[in-house]
Amino acid sequence: MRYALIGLVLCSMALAYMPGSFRWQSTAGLWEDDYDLLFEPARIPLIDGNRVYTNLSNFVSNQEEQFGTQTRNFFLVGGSSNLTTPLYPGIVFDKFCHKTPLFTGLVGRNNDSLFGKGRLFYTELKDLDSNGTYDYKRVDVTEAEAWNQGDNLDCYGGLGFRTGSLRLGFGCAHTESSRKYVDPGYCYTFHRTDSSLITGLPTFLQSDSLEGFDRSSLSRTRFLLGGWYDLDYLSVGLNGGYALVSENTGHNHRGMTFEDRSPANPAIVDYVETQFTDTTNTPYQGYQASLSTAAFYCPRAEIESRFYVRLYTQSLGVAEAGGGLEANHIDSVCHPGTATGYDSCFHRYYGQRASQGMEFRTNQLFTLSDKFLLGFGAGFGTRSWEDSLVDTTGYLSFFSYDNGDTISGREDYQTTVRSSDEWLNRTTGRANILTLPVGFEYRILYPLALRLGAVHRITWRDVTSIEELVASSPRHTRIEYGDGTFSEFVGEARQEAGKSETVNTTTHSTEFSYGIGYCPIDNLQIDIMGFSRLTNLANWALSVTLKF
Amino acid sequence: MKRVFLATAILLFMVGCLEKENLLDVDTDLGLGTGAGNLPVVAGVVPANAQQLIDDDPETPGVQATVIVNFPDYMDEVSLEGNVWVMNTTTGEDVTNLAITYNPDAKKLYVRHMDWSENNAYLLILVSGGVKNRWGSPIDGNGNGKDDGCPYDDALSTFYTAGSAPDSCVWIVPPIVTGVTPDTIRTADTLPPIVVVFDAGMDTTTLVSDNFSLVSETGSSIQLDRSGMTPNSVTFIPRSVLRFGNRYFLTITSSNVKADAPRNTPSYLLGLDADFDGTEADEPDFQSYFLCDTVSAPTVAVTDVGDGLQFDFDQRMDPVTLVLENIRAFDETGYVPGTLVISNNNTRVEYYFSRPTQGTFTAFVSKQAKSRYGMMLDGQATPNGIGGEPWDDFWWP
Repeated sequence: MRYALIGLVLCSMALAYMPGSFRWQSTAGLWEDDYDLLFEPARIPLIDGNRVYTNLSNFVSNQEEQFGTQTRNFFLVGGSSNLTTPLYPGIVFDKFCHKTPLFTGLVGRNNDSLFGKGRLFYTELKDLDSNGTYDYKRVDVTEAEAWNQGDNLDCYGGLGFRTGSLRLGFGCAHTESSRKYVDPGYCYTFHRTDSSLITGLPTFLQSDSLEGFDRSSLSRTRFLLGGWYDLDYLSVGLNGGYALVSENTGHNHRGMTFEDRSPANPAIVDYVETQFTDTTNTPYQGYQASLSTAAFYCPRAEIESRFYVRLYTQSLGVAEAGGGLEANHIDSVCHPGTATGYDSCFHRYYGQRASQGMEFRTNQLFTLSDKFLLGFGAGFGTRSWEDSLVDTTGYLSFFSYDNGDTISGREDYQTTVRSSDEWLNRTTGRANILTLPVGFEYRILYPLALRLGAVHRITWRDVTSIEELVASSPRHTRIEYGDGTFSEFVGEARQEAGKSETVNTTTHSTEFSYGIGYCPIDNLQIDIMGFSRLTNLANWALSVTLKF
Repeated sequence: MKRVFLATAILLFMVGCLEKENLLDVDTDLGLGTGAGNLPVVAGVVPANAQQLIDDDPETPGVQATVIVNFPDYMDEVSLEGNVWVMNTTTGEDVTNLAITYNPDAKKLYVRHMDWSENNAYLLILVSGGVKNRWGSPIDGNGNGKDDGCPYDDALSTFYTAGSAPDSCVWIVPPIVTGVTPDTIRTADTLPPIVVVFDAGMDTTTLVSDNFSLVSETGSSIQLDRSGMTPNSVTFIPRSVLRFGNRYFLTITSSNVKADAPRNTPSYLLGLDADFDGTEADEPDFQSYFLCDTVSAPTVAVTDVGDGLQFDFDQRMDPVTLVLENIRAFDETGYVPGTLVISNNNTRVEYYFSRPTQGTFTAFVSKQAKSRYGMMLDGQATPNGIGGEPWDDFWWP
C-alpha cells in the first residue's frame, strides 16, 4: 500500500503542470494553440489579443472531467496580454493541496473502519480466584494515524518583446511539490494497564509506540531565454533553458516499546525497553539544460514547413546528506541478570542521474482549403542516460549480558559485531525514437472544427542494469567475557559479487487522438476531448479559453 | 630519455591499477571462526610433552630428528624468527644450529637438528610477545585466554632422547593446590586440623607457617602450628580455639611456596598457581575459608499450589526478611506481583499471584532472607551450611 501510494505521488508530480493545449494534443502535436506559445516567451507576441485561463481551461492535467468523477482539483489562473506592446507578458499559476484520511487499520465495535486518527478502548475484568467477584482489570488503549498529504505549486511568468522582425523573450518557471504519507503500521500507540482490584495497584504496564512518515519533495526552477527573427518566408528561432532541480525522498520512523512488570514496587526492577529508528534520506541536486533551434519556412500561405533541433542534458547528484540509519536499542532485566545492547546499520549514498540527448523534428502543414488543414511530420530523437547509486553500509551491534551475581565470570559477556558492504546499482540506457505524426483539422461549420491525429512511434531501447559488490568487510565478532578472556571470529566472505542484465527492446505503437474546437463567440473558445461516447457527458474533458 | 620516462609512467600506472579494490577490506585470508584476534595457542607438539624424540636417521651417528609444533591459527612467519629456542635442560645450555622452518599452509613449525645429544632432555620455548599470529596477537602459552606477557605466556614443551627418561624432563606448569580441609564448609570443631594438598612435590622448606595465615572475619589473626608434612601436603593446627559464628580465611603466600622441580626448570614455574590459570606476573595469594559454628544456615523448598507458590523453610525465619523484595515469582512473561502470607511459625510463606499467569514458574528467594538466629539463606542445591555466600540466592526449579 505504501509503495503504491508513493508511485501515485510520483505520477501525480509528473502530471502536474500544463502538458499542452487541447488542439495540440488532438492533432498529434502538429498544430499549436495560443496556450502553447505562452511557454516560449519569444513567441508570446504572436498571440493575437488577450487570453485568460481559469480552472475551466483544464490545463493542469487535461484529465479534468467537468461532468464526470475524475478530478485533479487544481486551482489555475493565467493569461497573456498585448496591451503593453511592445512588451507581451504572460503568466500561469496553479496550486493544489490535499490531506486525505486513510484507513487506520482499527475497526470499531460495529465493524466500522476508523479513518484518519483513530482510538480504541478495551476493558476486561477477571475473577482470578473464582470467588464470584472481579479482582483484576485490564485496560488497552490503541491509537493509529493514517493519512496522505500533498502540495503542488506551479508558476510561470514570461515576457516577450517585439521590435520589427526581431522577437525576444525571457521566462521563468517554478515547480514545488511535496508529499507526505503516514502509514498506520508506522504511526500508532498502544498502552496496556493491568491492575489488581484488590490492592488497587497496577500489576503490569505496556507501552508500544511508533511514529513517522514517508515523504518526497521536488523543487525545480527553470529559466528560459529565446529569440526569433522573421524574414519574408522564413522565421528562425533560438531558445535556451536552464533549470535548477532538487528532489528528496525518504522516511523517518521512530518507535519505542516498554514493559514494566513491577509498576507498583520500584524496589523490584523488571522491565524491557526497546527503541527503534529507521530513517532514509535520498536527496538529489543538479541541473537541466537545453538548447533548441527552429526554422519555420512558409513559401506560400497554404504551405508551412517547420524544423526543430533540440539538445539537452541533465545531471543530478546525491547530496551529502544522502544516507540512512536503522538502529535498535534494548535494555532489559532477565531472570536473573540484565541484558542491554543495540544494533545499527548505517547507510551512506553516493551517485548521480545523468542523461543527454538530441532530437530532430519536422512538421509539414498544409492548408488545403478554408475548411481543411492537413499535416504530417517526422522526428528522430536519441537519448542516453545513467543512474548510479552506491550504498555504503556499515553494521555494528553490541550486546551485553550480566547474570546478576557479584562474580564476574564467563557467564557475563559483551559481544560486538561489525561488518560493512558497498554495493553499486547502476542502470545505463540508450533510446532511439522515430515518430511519424499525422493529423488534420476539419472546420465542419464555422465556428465548429473537428480534429484528428495519430502518431506512430518506433522505439529502440537498450537498458543495462548492474548490481555489484564493490567492497566488503566480513562479519567480525568479538566476545569479551567477564573473566578477562575474549574470543574473535571472522565470518564468511560474501560470495554474491553481483549481477547484470541487459534488455534490448523494440516497440511500435500508434496513438490516436481526437477533439473538437468550438468558438461560439469571439471571446470564447471551447475545446473538447474524451467524447468517445457522445451521449455520456461524464467522459468529456473540456477546455475553455477566454479571449479579449 | 622520453622513452624511459614514458615506460616508467606506464609501469607506475599499471602498479596503481593493481591496488586492491576493496576499500573496506580486512585480511580475509584466515580460517573461518578461528582467526581474528584470538590469542593463538599451541595445538600440539610432536613428540608430546615429556616424550622421546625418535631418531629418523638411525644409520647416521647422533640423533637426527624434527620437533613439529602444530598451530590452530595462522602465524606470522616473521615473528617466529629468533623467538623459538631449545634448551638442553640436562646441561643447561641452549641448543644451536637449529633449522627452523614454518609451513603457513599446514600451520606447522618444524624445529630440526642434525645432532641432538643422546641421553639428554630438552625444553622447547616459543617466546610470548615475539611469536604472534597474523593479527599480531601474542601466543598464549598457558592457554588462559589472557596476555600474561613474557615469560609467563611462553609456550613450552619438553622431550628427551634415547637413553634418558620422562622424569628427566623439567616441569612446564607451576604447582597448584588440589585440596584444602576444611574448605567452604561449616565446622563445629574449634581446633580443626587444616590440611593443604598440592599436585606435585613441594620444597618443604617453604611449607612453613610464615607462608600460611588464618584470619577471622573480624580481622584477628590465629597462629598456625605445623603438625605434619609430606612432599605434597602440609597440616597445621590453630594455636588457639576458634570462635563460633566466625568465618576464617586461610591465605597461602603464592610467591613464597615453591615446588621442588627438576634442575633447570624455569624459576617462574616454581611458584604456586593460586588461581589455576597458569603463571602470571602478579600471581594472587591462594585463599580458602570455612565457617566455625554449631548453627546451620536455613534452606528453602518450593511447591506450586495452583494460584500461588508455597515456600517452606527448614527453620523458623525472621519475618522482617520475608518480604516481596526477597521472595519473588516469575512466569514466562516475567515478574508476577503477588501478596505474601506468613504461617507455620514463620517457616512457611504463601505467595498469591496478583495477575493471571502463563507457562511454567520460576521462584526466587534472596540470600538476604534470614533465620531467627540471623543466619542468611543457604540457597545452593547442595547446601554447605554457610549462608549468604555470593551464590546462595535460591532459584527454583
